[in-house]
Amino acid sequence: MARAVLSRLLQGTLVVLGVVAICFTLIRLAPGDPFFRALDEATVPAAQRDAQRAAFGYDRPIPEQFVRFVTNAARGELGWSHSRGEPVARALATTVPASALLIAVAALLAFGVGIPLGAWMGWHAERPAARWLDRGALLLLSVPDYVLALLAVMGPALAWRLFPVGGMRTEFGPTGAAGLLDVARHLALPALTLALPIGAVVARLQRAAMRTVRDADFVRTARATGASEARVARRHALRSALVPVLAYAGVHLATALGGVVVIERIFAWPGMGRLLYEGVLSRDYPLVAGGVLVAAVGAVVGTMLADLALRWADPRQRGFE
Amino acid sequence: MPAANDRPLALQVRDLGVRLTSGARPLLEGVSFDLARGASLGVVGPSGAGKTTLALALMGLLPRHAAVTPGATLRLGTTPLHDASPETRRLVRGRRMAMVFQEPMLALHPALSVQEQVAEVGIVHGLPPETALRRALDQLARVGLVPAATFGARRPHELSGGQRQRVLLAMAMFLEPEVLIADEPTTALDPALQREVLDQIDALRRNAGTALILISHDPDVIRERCDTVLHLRDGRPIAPEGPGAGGARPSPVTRLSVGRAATTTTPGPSATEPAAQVLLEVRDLVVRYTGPSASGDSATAAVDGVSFTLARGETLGLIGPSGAGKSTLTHALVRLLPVAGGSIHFDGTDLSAIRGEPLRRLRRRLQLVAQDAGASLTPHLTAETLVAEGLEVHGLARGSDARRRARTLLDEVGLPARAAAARPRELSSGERQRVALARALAPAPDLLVCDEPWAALDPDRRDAILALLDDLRARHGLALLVISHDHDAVHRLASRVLPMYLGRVAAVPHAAATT
Amino acid sequence: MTARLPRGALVVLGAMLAAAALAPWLAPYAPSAQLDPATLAWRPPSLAHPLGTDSFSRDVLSRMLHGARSTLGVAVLAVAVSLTLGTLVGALAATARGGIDALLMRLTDALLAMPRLLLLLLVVAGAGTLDLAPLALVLGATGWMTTARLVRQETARLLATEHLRGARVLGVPWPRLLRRHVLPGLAPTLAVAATAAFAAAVPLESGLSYLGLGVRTPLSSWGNLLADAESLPLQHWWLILFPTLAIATTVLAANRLAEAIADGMQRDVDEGTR
Repeated sequence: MARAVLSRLLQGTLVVLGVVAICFTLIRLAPGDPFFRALDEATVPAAQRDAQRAAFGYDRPIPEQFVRFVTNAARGELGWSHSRGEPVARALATTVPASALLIAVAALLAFGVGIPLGAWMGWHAERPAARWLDRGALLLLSVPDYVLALLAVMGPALAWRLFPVGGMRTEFGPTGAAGLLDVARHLALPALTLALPIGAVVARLQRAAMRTVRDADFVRTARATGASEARVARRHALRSALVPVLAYAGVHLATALGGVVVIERIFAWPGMGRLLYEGVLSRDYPLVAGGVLVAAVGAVVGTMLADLALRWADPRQRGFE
Repeated sequence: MPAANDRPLALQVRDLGVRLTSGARPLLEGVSFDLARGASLGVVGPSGAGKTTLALALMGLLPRHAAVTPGATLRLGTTPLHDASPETRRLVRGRRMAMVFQEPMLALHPALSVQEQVAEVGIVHGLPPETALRRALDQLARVGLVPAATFGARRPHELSGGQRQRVLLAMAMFLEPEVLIADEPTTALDPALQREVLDQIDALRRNAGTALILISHDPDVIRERCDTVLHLRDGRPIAPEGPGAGGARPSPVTRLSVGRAATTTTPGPSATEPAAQVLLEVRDLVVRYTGPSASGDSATAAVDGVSFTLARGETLGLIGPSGAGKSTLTHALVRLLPVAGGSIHFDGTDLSAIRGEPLRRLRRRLQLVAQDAGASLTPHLTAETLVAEGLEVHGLARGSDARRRARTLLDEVGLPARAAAARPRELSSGERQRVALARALAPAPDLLVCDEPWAALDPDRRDAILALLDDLRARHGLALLVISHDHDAVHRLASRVLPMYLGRVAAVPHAAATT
Repeated sequence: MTARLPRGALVVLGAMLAAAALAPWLAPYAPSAQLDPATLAWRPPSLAHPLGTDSFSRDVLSRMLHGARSTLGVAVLAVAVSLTLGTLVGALAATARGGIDALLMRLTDALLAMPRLLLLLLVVAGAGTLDLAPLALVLGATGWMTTARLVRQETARLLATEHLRGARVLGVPWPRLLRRHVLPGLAPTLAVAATAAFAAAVPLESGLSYLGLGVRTPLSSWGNLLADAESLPLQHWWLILFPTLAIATTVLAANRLAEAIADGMQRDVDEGTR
């Protein structure tokens, strides 16, 4: 097990480096740099322009910039964010917790509801209720997350005033326990809209897996021991049926969580997704690079956790090795 | 065995039938028998006869789409089961009636330890978990998995097929049930292991006084192990057999065909002398097998120093248990695996030395009928296309001419005319086997390597393929290399038989021919 | 292949694509024609304007039809790009094996570990504005990874099948082997990959356009129709309902189709005929 974790960590590091390299290349391939609007005015002397660029290292060869970025990042230095006028590390530190909260709650919702619901749907696949739920889930995952968010803002938030429209807390709002409740009220809609499509995918995968597993030979063996249906489903079938869901989580978590960017923008959630979106628009390279780095590390850690869970659910699995 | 009638009944079955809930043809009908306590009943029949359906119906484990027909009586001791509630049936399972399943690979939970799985039987029937876990170890020791603590901690994928089968047996016998149903418990095992597992079953049930229902497609096994026999065919019992009346008589049909084939094949005239024209010469062949194995268990065994020669028109048999390296050898002979040492000379050409186009052209003369020939047919092509391809790629015929000759070949291997336009999945496994044979014969090879060409077939169909092979050999004058673990079949076909064991060929070529 | 294709899904997809192709002839008005800002703005659906009008008195039906043109056009083109790239990478990895396989698959993993939307934002923001064709290209270039994984897996499986061995032993030359024995087997996988990629591309294009980074006015797309409707009160329901419905039914139909094909493949595998 320890070796597996170690090898996974090593691979994860490589993937993170790869992601940063790709991100770096993309940024540098794009025309212009952060100063192209501010400095490329005719009134600014060329010498000053170049000096400014040199000060931030933009005149160095790109491979050198990359190496410097990586070594600095390893020390926790991510550079200076031009658009926000503060160190990238600080900008990230103030926004990452909000995103982490949103993602954690959404993932908990998506998997916490999706797995049992999907398992039930698969175990009782013949019941009309299960079939309708399956169709509902397919419909749900066919609605883009930003549309769900829009609908949530228009209905429950704007028209019916059940939830706040945006932000993370009420300004000058309550603190302490009441403050937590306030955050929860703000969190409800964004977390739900983020969780719904992911939960729908999870539930459908879980359903398909459970439906296959319930006819497996080893499930029949479990029945032959005289185990009750509930025990057969929970102890024997579900554990194996988790495999495809965990495999999905391992591979597609990052893609699924891309929705964070849009959701945070629509709900004005003060998280990293919105920070990155703004960073991209203002070509704040250090900010974007740092953000992508954090996102990639998060995705890799998530993938690793899913991989370890996969080993637990099916010891024959060797993950990516 | 008159005593059987006096003993109290363990199981009484009257007019048991099973049909699909969709109302199609019954899967099983009119099955009646009595099973005395401690007695044994054998259930035989070809695949698809309803043997497993019967077992599942008795256990109350029929798949969702099948149900026992009304009017059936099923009594376990004095407990009526045919009208019992699901909960009653459940409590009977594992405690009073248990089952050992067919596929030990699949019948165990992949993620739970062996000890946990055995203990599960006790736990669901009310034993405290610690007691159940402790007794599970005792039980593992009893089926010969010692040290039990070591085996108990393993997961099924860390066990061999025979060991998994023992685990299933340990589970089934954990609570010393009144009736044990064993569904082909040894089909996946080597002959030696088969005997061990069957002995194990007998030993355990003798202690517990458990009655046995043993399901097998192998009449020999049933004859040896069972007091009475129930023959099934197409879901119905055939040839009524009284309890204890020596029902283990093999069906006359089987006997006859065995005798006939045996007499037609033995006189391989001068072929016993491999002197004449050597077609294939294998010297100290070494093959390392690295890829995943198709047959699961022990196919990683390599070929290690095999030598033999095969003359034109001769039939040579290679027999050995699974894991002896037979399939590895086959794959090396047709150059699907690289040769690691030694040499293969085919009609004077060193097979391991050529590649690319010369090898491809040589393949015309050296054909293979693989173990699962059905799988060797590309699924989206029709039988006719598949057979014609052999002619086309070697420039022997093309277009409509190739297709016409393909149809002739399909006819020659005894396929109906409709088979030509069929895709593999529309054919039965026996028919697919014949298509594969026709395809291998199409380029008119000099040597045909047959790797268990009847592995997937029932005894009747096996005999038909045997007869066909021999007939084709005689008419096309091709040399045959037949590889199998089935002594019987090989001896009927081959003029010379070499035993193979653990990657080596035992060097007694002539002694075997006299059997 | 024994896939039973869902007729409903095929009809929906066919109708949507036909509407997109025939938009200039089907649309009653020019998509950006402001009919009469004074009297015809904010009209709910009526006979004259079946899907209503927007704040500038533009006909929503006409804008939807032309929007289908950009949204679906971009999606189809993006699928073509991602399918080509993914098939090349996947097939290369599966046939080359070893180091090249590992390298290609790690690259795929790295790209998959990045939220696709972020990747898109990077490219789009870097490039400033994008025309439809480059937008499709970028969408395709960021979406080939799933296809590559699918194709690699399936090609590796096909290359290891008994029937391929059978054909090799028969002496079938490589080009014919690939053409007749491997490629037809790959077709259902490509169909699944294509439909799934389409189902992913439609929300992405519309999402980008919604964020103001994809298709921009005066061109319409289902995404920027929604952007126009953002934070309007509920009484202007038609402005948000119809684009939502169009996106959801199209994606739903594509998902259904992908699923049906995949189910058919699975059935074939279960029956041992693949």
